[in-house]
This record gives sequence, C-alpha cells and structure tokens, in this order.
Amino acid sequence: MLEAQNVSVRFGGLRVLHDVSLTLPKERLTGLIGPNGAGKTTLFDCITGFVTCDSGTVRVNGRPVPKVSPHRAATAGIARTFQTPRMFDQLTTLENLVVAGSRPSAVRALAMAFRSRAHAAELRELIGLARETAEFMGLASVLDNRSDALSGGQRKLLEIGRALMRKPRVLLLDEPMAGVNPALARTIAAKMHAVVAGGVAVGVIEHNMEFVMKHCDYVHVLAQGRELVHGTPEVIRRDPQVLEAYLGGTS
Amino acid sequence: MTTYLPAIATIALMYGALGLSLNIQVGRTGIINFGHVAFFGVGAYATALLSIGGMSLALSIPLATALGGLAALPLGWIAARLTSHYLAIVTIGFAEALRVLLQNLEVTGGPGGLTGVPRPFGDLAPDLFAGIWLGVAAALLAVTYVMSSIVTRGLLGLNLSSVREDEPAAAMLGRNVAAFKTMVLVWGSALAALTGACYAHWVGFVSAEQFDPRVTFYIWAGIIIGGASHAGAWLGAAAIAAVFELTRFLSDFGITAFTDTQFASLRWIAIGLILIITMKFRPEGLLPMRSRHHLRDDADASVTQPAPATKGVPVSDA
Amino acid sequence: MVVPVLQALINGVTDGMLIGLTALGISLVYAVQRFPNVSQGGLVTAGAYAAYAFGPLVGTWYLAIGAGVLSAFVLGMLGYLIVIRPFRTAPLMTLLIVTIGLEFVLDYTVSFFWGNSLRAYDFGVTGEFSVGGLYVSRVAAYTSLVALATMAVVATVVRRTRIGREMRALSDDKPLARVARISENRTLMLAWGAAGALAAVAGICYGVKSQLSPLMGWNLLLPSFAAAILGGLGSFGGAILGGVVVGVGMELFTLAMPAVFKPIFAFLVLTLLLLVRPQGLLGKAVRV
Repeated sequence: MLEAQNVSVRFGGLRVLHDVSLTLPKERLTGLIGPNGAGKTTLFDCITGFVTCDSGTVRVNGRPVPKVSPHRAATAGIARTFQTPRMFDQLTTLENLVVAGSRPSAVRALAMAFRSRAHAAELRELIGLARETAEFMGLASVLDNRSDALSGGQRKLLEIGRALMRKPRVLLLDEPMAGVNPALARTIAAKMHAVVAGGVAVGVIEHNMEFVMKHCDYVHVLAQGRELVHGTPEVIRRDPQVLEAYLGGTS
Repeated sequence: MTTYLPAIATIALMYGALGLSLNIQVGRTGIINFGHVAFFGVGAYATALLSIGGMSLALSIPLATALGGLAALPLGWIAARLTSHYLAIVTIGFAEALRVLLQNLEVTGGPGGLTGVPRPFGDLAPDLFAGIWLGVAAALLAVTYVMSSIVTRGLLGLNLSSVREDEPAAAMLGRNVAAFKTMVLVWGSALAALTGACYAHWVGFVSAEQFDPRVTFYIWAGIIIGGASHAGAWLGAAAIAAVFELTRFLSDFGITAFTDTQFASLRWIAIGLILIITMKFRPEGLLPMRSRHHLRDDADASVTQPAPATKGVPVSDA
Repeated sequence: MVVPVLQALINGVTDGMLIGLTALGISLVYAVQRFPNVSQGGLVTAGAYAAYAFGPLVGTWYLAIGAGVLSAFVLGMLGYLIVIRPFRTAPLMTLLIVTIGLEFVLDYTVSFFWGNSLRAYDFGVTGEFSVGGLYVSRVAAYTSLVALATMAVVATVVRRTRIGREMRALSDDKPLARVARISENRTLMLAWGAAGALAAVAGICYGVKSQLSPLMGWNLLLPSFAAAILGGLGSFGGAILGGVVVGVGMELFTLAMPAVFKPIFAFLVLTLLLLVRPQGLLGKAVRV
C-alpha cells in the first residue's frame, strides 16, 4: 500500500501541486485523472523522487520513502513507467528485463563479477524469470531484438515487464494506454488486473475515460494542482465538478 | 629508425591500455571523462616518488594504482551531481589543476619533474631492455584488458549499459547511478594509474608535460575511431599513438619539409580533425557497440540463438 | 596590508575584463545554441595572431587590430558554417567533442605558422598611472577601456538591432523563433562571428598586456568558463561580472599562494559553482 499525504510542489513561483493526498491500496487498481497540467505526472515524479516535494510524506506499507532519490524509492518497493517509454535502447528485450531484475547494488555487482559460478547461477535464474515475464507480457517472440527496434506498443509492454521484474509492492503507470490500439489496450488492461490480483497496489494515470470507468476500483481527480474529488467510478461519473474541470471551467 | 620500433610499439601498447581504461567509462558507461590523463599522471608520479624514496617497485606500483583510483573519488562524487557535459568541463579543469600542481610543487620536482626513477632492466643491453619492456607493455595491456572486461560483461556490464542508455530509467529500477559511475571512474582511473606507473619506470623520469590535459584527447581520438568495443578501443588508441610516434622520425627519412615543431602541430591538427570528422560518422555519439556480448558467456545457449525475424506476433500493433 | 589588497583588486579587475570578454563569447554562443563552446580559446589565439600578422602588412596598429578582429569575425562564421553547422542537431556531447577538435585545429594552426615561442605586439604603449602607491599600467588601463567599449557595443547590438532581437528570440524560445521566420542558420552564423570578434578583442588586449603564445586561448578557457558559469551561461552582463569576480578572486588568491596556482583557483570556483549554484549569479535556472 502506498500513502502520499499532503504533497505540495512549487516550481519557482508556480504552485504545481497543492496539498494532494493519494492512497493506493493493495490489490486495487486506482486511477488518477485530470485535465492536462493538473499535476498528475508531477505527483508520480514526487512519489518516485524525481521531483522534490516542498512538503508532504510518502509511505509504502507504513514505512517512509526517502525524498529526492529515485533509486531509494525503487528500493522501497515502488516501480513506475514513464509517459514515453524509457528503454535501454541498445540492450535486447531479454537484457532489459534481466538488468531490471538484477540486484541493484553496485558493490555487490562488482563482487559478483569475480565469482563466475555464483554469477552464472544468478544470471540463469534471472534469465528464467525474464522469460516468464516476457511470456506474460507477450514479448516472447522479440526476446533477442534490440529494444530500439521494438514497436511503440511493445516498448510499453516491455517497460511494464521491466517494472514487474522488480517484484514491486507499488506500480505506477503513466498513461499506459496512450497511443495504443484497442486490441493492445485490452491486453494491457488484462495484464493490469493480473498484476493487481497478484497483490500489487497499482496506480494509473490515464486519459482514456472508458478504461478508467471500466477497470479502476477507485479514482482520484486532480485539477490545477489540487485534488478535486475522489471516489468510485460511479461517483466520479456523476460528479458535476469533474465535467466542469475537463471543459476548463474551473478557472 | 628500426631501433626505435620496439619503443614505438611499447608506447602504442601503453596507449592501448589507456584506451581500454577510458573506454569502460566513456563507451560503456557514458561518463564523459576529459581528464583521464590526470590519473595516468597520478600513477606515474606516485610510483616515482615512492620508489625514489627507496620503496620496492613491487609495493610502489600497486600503491600508485590504488592512489590513482582514490584520486577519482572526488570526480565520482561530482559526477553524481552534474549532468554529463558539465562534468566533462570539470574533468578537463581537474586535469589542468593537477598539472599545475605537479608542475609547481617542490615535492614533485617543479617544472623539471623527477629524474632518476628506477628503471628495471636498465643495465641490460639496449636491445634486450627494449624487448623486455615491449613484453611488459603487452602484459600490461593484457591485464588491463582482463580488468576492463570484468566490469563490462555479465550483470555488472548490463548495469553499466543501463546507466549509459537511460539514467532515470536505471534509477527507477533501483540502481544508484552515482555509485556505478563512481565505481567505473575509480576502476578506470586505477588502471590508468597502473599504466602511468609502468610508463614512469620505463622512461625513468616524470614531468608534468607528459601529462598535459590535452594528451587525453589523443586517447579520445583513438577510442572514437575504434568504437566502444574493447578491441576497437585499444587498437584505436594504439594505432593513433603508433602513427604519431612514427611521424617523429620522418626527418630521418629525408622528409624535412617541416620542422619538428611543425610536425608536432600537424599531429595535433590531425587529432582535432579526427575528433570532428569521426563524430560526423557517429551521429549518435559514442555508442556504436552491439550489446549481445553481455549475455553470451554465461547464459544458456538458447539465449543467443537468433530471434525470429518477425516482430510482435502476439501483439501486432503498429 | 591595504595597499596590496587594493592593488590586487585593480589588477584583478583589469585582468577580469579580458576573462569577461572571453566569457562573453562563450555565453553568446550558449545563448543561441545551448552548449558550452570550447573552441572560444582557439578563436582568442587566432584573433590575436591575425592582428599580429597584419601588423607589418597594414603598417598602423589600429588597422592591424581592425583587420585582426575582422578576420576573427569571418573565422567564427566559417567555423560555424564548416564545422558546427553539420552538427547542429547532434547531441550536446557530440558538439562538445567537435568544438574541442576545432580548438586544437585553431591553436595548432597558429603554432604551425608562428611556432611556440612567445611574441609581442609592437604598439609602443608603456608606462603606468600611479595614485597613492597604487599602480595601473597604461596598457592595463587602455585594454580595460577597450573591453568596456566592446561590452557597450555588444549590449547595444543585442538590445537595439534586428540581429540582436533575433538572437534573443532564438535564445528564449527556439520553436517560437522558427515560427516567427527567424533564420536560425543566419543568426547562429552571426553569433559565431560575433564570438570570434569578441575573442579577437580579448586576445589582442591580452597580447598587448603580456605576450602572444599559441596556448594563450587555451589557458584563458578555464577562468573564462568559471566566469561564464558564475555569471550564468547565456547571460551577457553576467559573463562580464563573472569575469571580474574571477579575475579579482585569482589576484586575491595570489596574495596567499604563488601566482602559478591561479588556474587551481579557477578550477575550484568552477566546480564549487556548478555544485552549489549552477544557474550562476544572474542566470535563469538551468539544469546541469
């Protein structure tokens, strides 16, 4: 479970997030919606340490997550994807997955480099896990293709797969459906449900309302850096403020 | 001139070793280090001072190597805090500051440098001396090759590649990017210091000019030409050094169109042109390497079998 | 105690003006192209030697200076057209390496033709002004005036002329500048020309104050980068201010340390600054 409480962020004089709270419960798919510029991605950036929040706390299963340090946020159990997938372009699909699953300590990696037997065993295990993940994400046929040769949709799948290799407690997905065809969108939605069922707290930023209403268990709406409303999709659907925010009437 | 050939080969192999140790930083991890020669100098001066003070080479060379690695720690700390092009400027400044120190401190012999650095095999016949040192240089290259490969293959190599390819993504996968960069800076700098130590004992003296910050770009030109593979890096750096050393003897062949100073200038102009022209053919920068190497050695055989040419059978989106 | 410090301040300001001029060239290119131009040092050297070469040909020193500045202006534009333009869309790192290559080509072309020995202009400016135990050499005073005048010219061009407006537009918002049909190519070319001319003024002043050597530009790079970053890369007033601060700092540093260690001071300023305040004194926030 992830709890972000009273998060505020300023860029210079501009207040990007104002006292926003977000809870992502375990085994639930939580949607985060709002018009462009509402601060959704900034909230993810803040939770994952890419942006310094001026105030507020982030906890995973009750333990505070260190600020301004993506790798420590990751070590605390948070994984995320980016709006535009960030691949390790010159690595293959398999290598992308293997590196994601490997233990992140630099010192340990150096020590392992001198222990070829232990290293080989660890690598075998990771390759096995990577193959399973690739199978699950539907990437088995492109295992040995360099990731810069993958299609846009495959890159999205690989990025999610890479996050899963971390066995995260919390998974944040930034617009996984953007630019994706309907068939693939259904695949991604199915994967998300499977991940949620596996005990992960999943948060998703999405513009596709149909998806949000159909699949999310709970929805938070942001507008202009503030939380507008939150509730089940039924509640959100009927809330007049949400419609107003999307039509740009709030200012 | 044939008497110089072993010496030229020796210096070429030493530059090859410097190419390898720079390449694990630049080509494999994406750290833009313009100050590599500084660590070459640290190794040379350290072993020179220690051995002139009476320490056995068996101790002074390893100590010099370690010191070279330690000297890179501040750069690692800075690398964690700056984006790559600002780090690049800091590394040149670091090399220049170090040169100024070495050239002007009393303990490092001032502008004259340090003479009388012990030269093993120095009392042998010149041909034998040259032959043995050629062997030493080859061994040095081999050691550097092995030590470079250790950090760039397998899981560690994959991790370094991930840092090079996309730092935020690597960080989001739990990797402490700064720790990996620091590690590679220390590793590569220690190897450069080892080369510097061997160099000092070969030539028998050290002076700050030998470690002018610009010498780094000799090595850069070499690895840019060679590409980011280990073989390319050492061959590129060695080839540049060999060709350039050979041009020092052109006047022996009756090619006297230019003075020695002018030849020196032409060599640097050539380095400049190589940097410019090679970059034109490497639009993506220094990353022409294939990545398969990582998983070839240890992984099960099926991993390296060619993948089906068709992409995205189960997921056929455009 | 007071006199040496004041004297150091004076020397620092007059040196700092020239560092500032070099930094101004770096900042100018940074403003329109967003990358730190290492070849500015080579332009300094080339400009200074161009004036030296024209000296005997044109007879009078002011014509020689004019010819030197003009040829550096042309050289800057040629450098852009031949070397930089093919890399205009390349990654920052590529541009950085390419400008280092250009720096070498410029420096060593000079050393190819003129050798490595030190040379001096023969302008016949000697003597010094003295006030109450403080000295300013006439050369230092004149070069400072020239530097100030040059800065005034740059400020006027940037503020008042069409090309200046286009440069600022390109600096503030590239896409918008393109929409406004500002020729990026022409503006960049002129910015490089201006950087060359500024480099020549700095190089000539430097040569008049001390001596000419093929290394003069390279040696000015470290303090100039410190100055440009101190002032905030892309900020023109900041570059000058940064130059003066670095110049004064280096002189005060020499009160405690031997003068040969000046570059170390420049390095420390540069590094600390990048770590603590990368946007500089006057600059807007930049990510480093």
